[in-house]
Amino acid sequence: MSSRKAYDSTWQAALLLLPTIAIFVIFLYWPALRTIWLGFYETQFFGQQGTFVGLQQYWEILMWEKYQNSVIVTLKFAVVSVFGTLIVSILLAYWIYTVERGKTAYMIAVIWPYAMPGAVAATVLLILLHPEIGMISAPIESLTGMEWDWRVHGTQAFWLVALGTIWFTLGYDIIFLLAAFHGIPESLNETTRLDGVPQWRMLVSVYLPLISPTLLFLLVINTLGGFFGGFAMVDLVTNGGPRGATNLMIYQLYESGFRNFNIGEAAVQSVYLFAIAVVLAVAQIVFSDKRIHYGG
Amino acid sequence: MAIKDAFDITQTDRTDTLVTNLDRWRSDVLAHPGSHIALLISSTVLVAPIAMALLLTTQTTAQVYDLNYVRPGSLETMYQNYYQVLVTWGFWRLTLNTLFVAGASTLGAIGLSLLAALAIVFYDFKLDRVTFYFILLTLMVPFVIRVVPLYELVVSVGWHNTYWGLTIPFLASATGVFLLRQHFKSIPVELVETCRLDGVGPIGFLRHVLIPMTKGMISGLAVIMFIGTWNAYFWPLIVINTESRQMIQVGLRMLQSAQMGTLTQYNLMMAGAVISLLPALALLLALRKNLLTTMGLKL
Repeated sequence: MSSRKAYDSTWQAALLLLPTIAIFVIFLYWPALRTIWLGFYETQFFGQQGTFVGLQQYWEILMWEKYQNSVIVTLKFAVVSVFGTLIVSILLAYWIYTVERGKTAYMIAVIWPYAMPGAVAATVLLILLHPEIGMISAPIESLTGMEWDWRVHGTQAFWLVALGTIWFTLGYDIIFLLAAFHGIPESLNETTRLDGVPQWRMLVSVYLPLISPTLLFLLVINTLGGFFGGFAMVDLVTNGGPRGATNLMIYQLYESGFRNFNIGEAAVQSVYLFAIAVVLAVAQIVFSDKRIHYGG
Repeated sequence: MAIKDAFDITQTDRTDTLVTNLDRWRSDVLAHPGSHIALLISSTVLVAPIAMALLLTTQTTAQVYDLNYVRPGSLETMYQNYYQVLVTWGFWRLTLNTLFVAGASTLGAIGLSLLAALAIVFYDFKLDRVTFYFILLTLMVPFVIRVVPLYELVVSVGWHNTYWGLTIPFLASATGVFLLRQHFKSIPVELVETCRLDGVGPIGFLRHVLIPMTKGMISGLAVIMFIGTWNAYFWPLIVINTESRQMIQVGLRMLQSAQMGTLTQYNLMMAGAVISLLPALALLLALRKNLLTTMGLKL
C-alpha cells in the first residue's frame, strides 16, 4: 500500500462508506434481486401477496404475442438509436477535430442537447412534426410526396421516436469522442498523416482504430441506455402506437406495472429487458476485446 | 490538423487583431471546407427545432393552427403564453419543486460520494478493493431491473408522493465515487504525508485540502447530477400523483390537455417545453468548462 493511505481506522472508513453502501444495498441490489422473485408470483392488485406460480409467468409472457412484437420493436429501436447516435456523433466530433477555427462555437452548438430532457424533445417534435399543424410536416409531404401521419403509419412513428431519441442523446457521445480525438498524441498524428489521403479514409483507417476503447465504452453505454431511452418520446407522443409500432419494452413494462398494476407481469418484463441489455453489452465487450487487441 | 491550443475555450489571445483573425478563419475554411460546411449544417439542424419552438411561443393558438402563418406573433402574445403556463398551469411551482429536488439530490449525492471516495483512497482497510467494485458494479444494474420492487418499497415506507421517494434512493452515485477516486489518487503523496504528520483529521483533510483541490471536478459532477435529476421523467411520473408536487418534465404531460374550445393550445405546450429546458441548458452553458473537464476533455 502506498503512503497515500494516511488513516487506518477501519470503523471510521466503515462509517464514511455506510451511507453509500446502505443506499446501494437497500435501493439497488435488493430490489434488483427481488424483481426476479416477484416474477414467480401472479398478482391481481398492487400490494396484494399474489400466488406462487414459479416459472409459469415467465413462460406466459414469452408466449404473449403483444410482448413478442414489443421485443422486436425494441431490438430495432436499439439498433437504430445506438448506431445512429454513435455514427452521427463520430462524424460531428471528427469534423470539429479537423478544423482549427471556431472549435468552441461548433462544440457548444452540437453538445447542448446533452442538457435536453427527453420530455422536451418529445413535446417539441410532437408539435413541429404534427400531421396537421406541424411546421416541418408540410415540407416533408411536398418533398417526399408521401402522406405524413405518424398516428396512422407505424414506420413513421417508429422513426419519429428513434430520431427524437438520437437528438437528445447525441451530446453525451460527442463529449467523450471529442476527448478521445483530442487525446491522440500529436506526434502519432504527424507520422500517420499521409498526403493526398482523403479525410474520410484517415478517419476510418487511422483515427477510429486509435480511439477504439472509447468507441467500445460508448457502444456499451448506448446499448444499456438504448433499451431504456425513448420512454418519454413514446409516452408523450405515440403512446406505443399505432398498432404497437412504437410499443417499446420499457413502455409495455410501464403499462403492465403502473397502469394495470400487475406487479408480477411487470417484474418478469424487467428481467427480460435486463437480460437482453446485459447480454448484448457483455457480448460487445467480449467481441470487441479481441478486435481492439489484434486490430490496433 | 488539430493543434491542441486551438481548442480555444479559455484562450484569450489579445495579440490577435481582427485582421489576422479573419485571415486565419479564411485559410482554415479553405483548408477544410467540407468540415466547416458540414458543421454549419448540422448545428443548424440540431438548433432549428428549438428556434421554431421559440417562434411558436410568440403566436396565439389560432396562429399556430394557421399553416400559412410562419412569422413571429407579438411580444404581447409571448408574454401571455408564458404567463399562462407559469401562473395558470402552475409551472412556477413545478419549477421550484424541481429545482429543490434536483438541488437536494445533487448536494446529497456529492456529499456521500466525497465521503466514500475519502474512505476508499485514504484509509488503510482490508476491503477497500472489494468495496470499490461493489460500488462500480451498480453501473451494470440499470434502473429498469429494480423499478417495480423499488416502487413497492417506497410505498411501504410511506415515501410515495413525497420528495423523500424522489431523492433518497438516488443519493448514492457510482459515477461520483469513481470520478472522485480517480482525482484523489492524483493528489501528491507528500501532501497527504504532511497533513498526516501535522495531525490533520480526516474531516479536516476533506474540508481544507481535498474539496478545494477538487472544486472543478465537483462542479462538473454537480452539472451531470443536476441535469440527470432535472430531466427525469419516468420515476416522478409513477411516484408523485399530486399535481402541485409534480416535477416539471411530467408537467409537460399535464399541459397536453390545454384546450381552447376544440383547439389544443400547442403554443402553451411549447412555452412549457422552453421553460423545462432553460435551467438545465443554462447550467450546461455556464459550467461547460467544468463539465467537459470532468468528462475527460482536456481543455
